[in-house]
Amino acid sequence: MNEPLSLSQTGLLRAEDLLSADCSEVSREVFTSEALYRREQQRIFNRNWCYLAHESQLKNPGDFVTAYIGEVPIIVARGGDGKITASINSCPHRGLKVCRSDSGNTARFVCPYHTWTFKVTGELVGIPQEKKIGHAVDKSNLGLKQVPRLESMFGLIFGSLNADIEPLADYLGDMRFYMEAFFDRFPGGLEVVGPAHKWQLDCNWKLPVENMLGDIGHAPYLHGSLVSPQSEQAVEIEDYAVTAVPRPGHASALRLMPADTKAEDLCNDDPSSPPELKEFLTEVQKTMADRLSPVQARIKGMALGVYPNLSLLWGQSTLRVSHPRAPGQIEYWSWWLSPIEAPDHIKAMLRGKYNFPFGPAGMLEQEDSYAWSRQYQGSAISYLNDRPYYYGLGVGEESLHPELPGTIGRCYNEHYARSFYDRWRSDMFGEEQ
Amino acid sequence: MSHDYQLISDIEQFYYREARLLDERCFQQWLAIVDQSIEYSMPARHIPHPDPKAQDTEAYLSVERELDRADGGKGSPLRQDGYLQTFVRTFRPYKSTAWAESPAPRTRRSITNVELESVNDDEYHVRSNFFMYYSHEGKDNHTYSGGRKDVLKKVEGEFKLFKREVIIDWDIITVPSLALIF
Ligand code: FES
Ligand SMILES: [Fe+2]
Repeated sequence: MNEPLSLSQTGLLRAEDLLSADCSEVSREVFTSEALYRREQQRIFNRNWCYLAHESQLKNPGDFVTAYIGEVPIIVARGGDGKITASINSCPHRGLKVCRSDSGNTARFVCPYHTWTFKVTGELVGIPQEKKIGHAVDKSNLGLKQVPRLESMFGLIFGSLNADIEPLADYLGDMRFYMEAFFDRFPGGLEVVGPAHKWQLDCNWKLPVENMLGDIGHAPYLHGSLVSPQSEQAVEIEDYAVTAVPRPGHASALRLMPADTKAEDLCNDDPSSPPELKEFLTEVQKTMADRLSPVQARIKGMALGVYPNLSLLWGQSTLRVSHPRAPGQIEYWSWWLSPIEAPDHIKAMLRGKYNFPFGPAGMLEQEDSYAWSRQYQGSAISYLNDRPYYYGLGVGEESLHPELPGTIGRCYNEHYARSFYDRWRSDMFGEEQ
Repeated sequence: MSHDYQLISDIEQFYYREARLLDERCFQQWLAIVDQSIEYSMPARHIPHPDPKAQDTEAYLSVERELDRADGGKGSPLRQDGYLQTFVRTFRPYKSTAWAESPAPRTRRSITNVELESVNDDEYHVRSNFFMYYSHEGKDNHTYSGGRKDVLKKVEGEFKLFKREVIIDWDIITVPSLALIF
């Protein structure tokens, strides 16, 4: 038997063995290799901008919320001076987490082990043992390590462990056009409501990300029990859907509707929505020109993703982050975003668009979770290491578009994933910066 | 409150039958014991920051503080279903395209700690616990545990479910899905 050696077994990791030049072939080991996983922490999560929190979660001085950059635990907080900071949640004395809550408001964090005490923004303010020590401890270097870069856009707070990273606006590039089309839809904006919904999945972190960058092709099939391929919605998707890649790694799946589409058809996706909800969304759509460009207003979005691991489902208004925990394990965090100015009963209806199909109790989410965990099992068959996955749907058919920024592929073109793996390859194997 | 043992026993029998219907995948028969006005909810559960002012009192460890309910449109529970959503949940598993449930998971529910809290007019307020073993396709085996707060009423001599709140115990949820019926 001539079983191909796994790359991690040989210790050799070469880009050309993992991905074909155009990324239409992706090795199974991209999902399963322990060595690649470790390198991803260094070269992807420690080097890029990662989503941390939404500004609406930090309204008042002392408010904090916990987050992760990859496997690194973070506290995002609004300090007494109103400024937002991000600290790494590990005590400089022996390493315990100084904050063990998901969110709250506090003046101090107290480390359990020896009661060293920190401000919400991470400065060390108290060492109880100090009183019986001959020399004073210089506390100025013993605060929680700060996340060196922190920037916000559309209310989304991103942090980077890479002090030299380009500004967030450049990092997003034309992705801002698509993000704006979602985040500036509602007058008064959006806010995160309630805590993160968190669950563990036995899959590689990249698969949920890839799915929400533009895997339109799975929806009427994997979710066929609720979304029929013959439904009006699915037909509209086949007619108008595109995936846009403004910069490799980021992408959005959307329908660009014709200019004469009626307002009520631009904003309503679900024929079973209550009439009141349809009316509310139609009224919002009619004022869209105040906030968005005419092309942005014609976007009927489906999903978008920001490299490396932030995703958004548009009609369901849910943000999610795929946190890596092992090659075959993630912690998936998901939040509901609500229009701030919507009346309470409309908010309740909008929430149903999130938590009935998605989240840990979601009808569609369970199918995605199932597929993602089974993909990992299939990827772990080392005998098939010579049979990479096929990512070639529509290869080469993507092109520029007269109205939309970036490279645009029609409906089932998998270029959104090819360009994600292209970006992944240059992070993983490119020159060290 | 004085104990009406017959009533308590009748409620227990109702729960055992309900659990059996669900374990035997008779979701359509289960739906028949659900009233059309059903409110089926599952608060999210998180870790709030401890409130130092509440120290030394039971409020310091309050379970309620960990729960995020619908609260009109102000909360983000895991589930807030009416009859339509409940109906869809019970009919979906019988489709060949219900991929997460084909092959069908095997479940075994134990219902315990049945506590008749109060009887208000025709409403029976009942708490119970569930423990469910779940096995799916190979070795995907899990245990689910939680509490339930129900409102039952008698309709034509039979109990019907009008309201259920399911309280889960995980911080990070480690089971495949909470889209099942508990
Ligand atoms: S480990 Fe934090 S105070 Fe010692
Ligand atoms: Fe999906």
